[in-house]
Amino acid sequence: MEETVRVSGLSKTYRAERRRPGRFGWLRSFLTPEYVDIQALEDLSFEVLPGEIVGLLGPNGAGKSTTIKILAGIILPTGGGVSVLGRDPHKQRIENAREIGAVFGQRSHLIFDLPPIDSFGLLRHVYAIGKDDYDRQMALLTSLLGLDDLLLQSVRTLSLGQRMRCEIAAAFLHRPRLVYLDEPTIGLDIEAKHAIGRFLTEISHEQNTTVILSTHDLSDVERVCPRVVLIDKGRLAFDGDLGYLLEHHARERSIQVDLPSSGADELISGLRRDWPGLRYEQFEGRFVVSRVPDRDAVTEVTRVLLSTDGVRNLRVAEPRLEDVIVNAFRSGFPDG
Amino acid sequence: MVRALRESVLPYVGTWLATFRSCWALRMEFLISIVVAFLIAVIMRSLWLAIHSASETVQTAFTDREMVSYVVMSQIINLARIGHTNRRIVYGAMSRIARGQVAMDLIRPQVFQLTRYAEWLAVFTFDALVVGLPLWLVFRLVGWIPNPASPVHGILFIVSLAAAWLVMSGIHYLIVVIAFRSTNVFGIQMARVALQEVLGGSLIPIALLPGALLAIASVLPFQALVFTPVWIYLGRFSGADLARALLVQWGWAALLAVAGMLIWAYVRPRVVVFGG
Amino acid sequence: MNIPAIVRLYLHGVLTQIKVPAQYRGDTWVAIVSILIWRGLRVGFIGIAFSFIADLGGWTVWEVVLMWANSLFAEFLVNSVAAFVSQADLYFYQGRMDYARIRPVPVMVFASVEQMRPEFLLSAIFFAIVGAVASINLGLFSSPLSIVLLGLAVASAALLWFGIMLFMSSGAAWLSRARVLKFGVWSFDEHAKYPLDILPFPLQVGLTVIPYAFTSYYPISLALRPETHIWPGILSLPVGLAVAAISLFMYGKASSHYDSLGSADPT
Ligand SMILES: Nc1ncnc2c1ncn2[C@@H]1O[C@H](COP(=O)(O)OP(=O)(O)O)[C@@H](O)[C@H]1O
Ligand SMILES: [Mg+2]
Repeated sequence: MEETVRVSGLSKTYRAERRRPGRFGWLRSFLTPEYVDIQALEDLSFEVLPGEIVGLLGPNGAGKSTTIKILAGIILPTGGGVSVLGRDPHKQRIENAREIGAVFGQRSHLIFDLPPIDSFGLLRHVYAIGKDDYDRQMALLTSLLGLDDLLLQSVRTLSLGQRMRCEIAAAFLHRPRLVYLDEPTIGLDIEAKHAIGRFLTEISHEQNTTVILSTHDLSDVERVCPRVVLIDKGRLAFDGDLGYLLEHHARERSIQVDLPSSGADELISGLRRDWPGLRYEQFEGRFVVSRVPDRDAVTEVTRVLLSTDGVRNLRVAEPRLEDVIVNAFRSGFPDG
Repeated sequence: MVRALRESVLPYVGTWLATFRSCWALRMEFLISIVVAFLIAVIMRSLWLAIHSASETVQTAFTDREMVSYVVMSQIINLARIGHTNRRIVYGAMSRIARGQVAMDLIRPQVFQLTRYAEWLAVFTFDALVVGLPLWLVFRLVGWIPNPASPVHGILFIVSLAAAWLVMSGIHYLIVVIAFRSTNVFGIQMARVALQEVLGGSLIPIALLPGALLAIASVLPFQALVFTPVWIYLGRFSGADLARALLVQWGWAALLAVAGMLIWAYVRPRVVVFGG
Repeated sequence: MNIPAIVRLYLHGVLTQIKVPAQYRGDTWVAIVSILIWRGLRVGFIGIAFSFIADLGGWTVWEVVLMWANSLFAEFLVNSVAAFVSQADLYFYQGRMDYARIRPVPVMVFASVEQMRPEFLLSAIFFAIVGAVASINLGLFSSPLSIVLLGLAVASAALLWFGIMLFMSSGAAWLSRARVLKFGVWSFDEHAKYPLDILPFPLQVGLTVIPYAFTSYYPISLALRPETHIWPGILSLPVGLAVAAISLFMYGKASSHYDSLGSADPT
C-alpha cells in the first residue's frame, strides 16, 4: 500500500532575530541585526499509512507544529523531504490543499462575528464543494460532533469546547483524505477531549481519513491513536504502537499517599524489601511519592498500602511524558 | 487618611506609568507622527496661503502671517493626530470588549473611567513631549509661529490645552462605553475624526466657517479641542471672551466626564462578556 | 482554479461579509450614516475652502474634487476587491498565513475574500459618485479622448494603490515597523491630493518620487488639460505598472521567506 505521508530525514532550522542587550539594544539591533539559529527538527523520518490515526507526541517546543506546517506546505524544510499523497506539499500547494484539512489549536478559521454556518458556507465555495456533497457531509459532521445547537450561534458566544468542535468540522467539510490537528485539545476539559477523540475514530473509520494529531499530553492519544510518533527536541524518540510505548517506556507509575504518623518507617522498609526497584520521596513527612518499577507491581503495592492502618488519600498518577521520553531514549529504538 | 488617598491614587499612577512605557515601545510610531504632522502642516500652510492670497474675506480675517501661525499651530496641537494614537487605544479597548478580555478590567479594583483617562493622559503627555514640543521648536525657529501673545496667554494656553485633552478623553470614553453595547463602532469613530477635524478647527479656522456650520460648531464640544487653545495662544481672545472660552471648554470637559459616568452606570450591569 | 469559480467565491465573500454588520442592526445604520458624514465632510471641506476663492492655483473646485475622488475611489476599490494588499502584514505577522496556505486557492484571493470590508465598498461607491458628478460638471463625458484619459487615470491610480499598499504591508516580512509606516501613510494620505503646483518644490518632488501624485494630480491634470499637461501624466500607467510589479516582486520575496510563527498565541 502506498503511504499517505512520508517524512524522510527532515530537518528545519529557523533563523530568529535576537535583540541585543542594553539600553540602546533596539537601535543597534535595528542597524545591525543579530540572528540565532534554532534547530527545530533534526533528521526526522516516519511514514503514515492511509486511514491511520497517528499521534504526534512531544513536549512543548519539540517540533510538532513545525512538522505539521511542513507537511501542510505552509513552510519549507531546510533539509530532507516530505511527500504527502505522493506530492510535494509546498511545490504543489494548491493540489495538496484540496485533499487536506487542518486545525491549528491556537488559531481560528471561523469568522468571529458570525455563526459557524456562515464560515462553512464560505469554505464551501473555497473548496468548490457541490451542494449535495456539502449537505451530506454537513449532516454527518453535525451528528457526529453534536453541532445542532451551535451552527446558528455567533462564534463569539461559543465556549472554547464548542468552538473547537466547529473548527474541527470546518477542517473535515470537504472530505479531505488527510487531516492535521495541531494541539486541538489545548485548554479543553476531559469530556471535550474524549468527544474529539471519539469523533476522530468514527470519521476515520467511516471515510478512511488519515489523521495526524499532535499533542503534548499522553492521555490525549490513549484510545484514539493506535500508533504514536514521539519527538523530542526535533528528533525521533519513538515510533510505533502506543501499547508498546506504554508497556515498555511508561511502566513507571507513582503512588502518592498520606502515611500514618506511626509505623511509616516499617511500612516503607517492608515495601523496599519486597520491591527493590521502588523509589520514594518524602515531603514534610506526610507524602510519600514512590516510583513503582512496573505496572503489575502497582496493583500489589497499592494493595499493601491500602491494607495498612492510617494510610489515606491514595492516588495513582499517570506516567509523565518527560519520563517516557527519557526512557525511550535510554533504551534505544524498538524495531517496528 | 493619607494612606487611603495614596491607595486610591497609586493604581492610576501605575496605569499612567505603564502606558507611558508602552508608548516608549511604540516610539517609532511617534517618530512617524512627527514626520506626518510636519508634512501635513507644510501642506496646509501652502493650501491656506493659496486661499488667503486669492480671497478678500480671508484677508480681512487674518494677515498672511496670522494665517500661517494658525494653521501650523493647529497642526502642532492637533488632537486628532494625538487621537490617531489615542484611537489605537480606543480600538484596543474596543477589541478587548469584543473579545471578552474586558473581564480582566472589570475585576480590577480600579474605576474603569479613571483607568482609561490615566492611560490616555500617558499617551497625551508622551505625544506632547515627543511630537508636539519638537514640532513647536522647529516651526518656531523657522519663524512660522510666534511666541504666545503674552506670558499670561502662554499659561492660559496650557490651561486650555489641558481642558482640550479632557474633552478629547471624554469623547473617547463615550465611544468606548458605547462599544459595550454595540460592537461595531468603526463608523462612529470615523465620523468623530471627521467632525473633529472640520468642526474642531484643525482644517479650517472656526472663524471662517460659513454661518450655518459656525452655529453648529459653536454648540458642539469639538471647537474646544484645537480652535480655543490656538486662539488663546495667538492672543485673539481677551477679557470676557477669554474667560468665556475657557469656561465653555472646562464645562464640556466636566459634562462629558459626567455623561460617561452615567452611561457607564447604565451599561455596566448589561455588559456581556463573550465566550471563553 | 478557473475564473468563474473565483468570481463566485468573491461574490459569496461579499455576501458573507455583509452579514457581519447586519449582525448589529442598530449601529449598522449609525455606521453607514457615520461613514457618509466622514466622507461628506472631507469633500465639504473643499467646498468650504472654495467658498472663499474662485480657483485654487488655477484649478476650479470640480477639478480639485475630481483629483480627490479619483485617488480615493481607486484606493477604496483596491481595498475592497484586493483587501489583502493592505492587510498582508496580518498574514506575515499574525500567523493568518498558515490557514491561507492550506486553501486550494491563491493566497491573495483567499485573503482578499476573508478581509473584504463592506465599508470600503461603500466608500468606493461614494467616491465613484463624487467623481462622476465632478466629471459631468466638467463636461468630461462628452469627449472620447477625455473618457479614455479618465479611464487611464482610474486604472493607474488603482495600480499605484495596489502597489503602494502591497509594498508596505509585505515589507512587514522584514521590517516589523512596516505597520507603523502604514499608519503614517493612512493619515497623510488625504492631505496629499491637492493640486501639486500649490505646494513647495521639495514636496512636489517628494510626492512624485513616492508616487502619490500619480494617483491624482498628474493623470487628472492630463485628462483635464491634455494640451498643456501631458508630462508627466502620460507616464501614470507605466509608473503604475512598474510600482505594482515591484510590489509583487517584494511580496514574492517575503512570501518565500515566510517561516510562520512559534506556537505562542499571537493575540
Ligand atoms: N517561526 C519561528 N521562528 C523561529 N523559531 C521558531 C518558529 N517557530 C517555531 N520555532 C522554534 O522551533 C522550535 C519548535 O517549535 P514548534 O514546532 O512550534 O514546537 P511544538 O509545536 O512541538 O511545541 C521551538 O524551539 C520554537 O521556539
Ligand atoms: Mg505547537
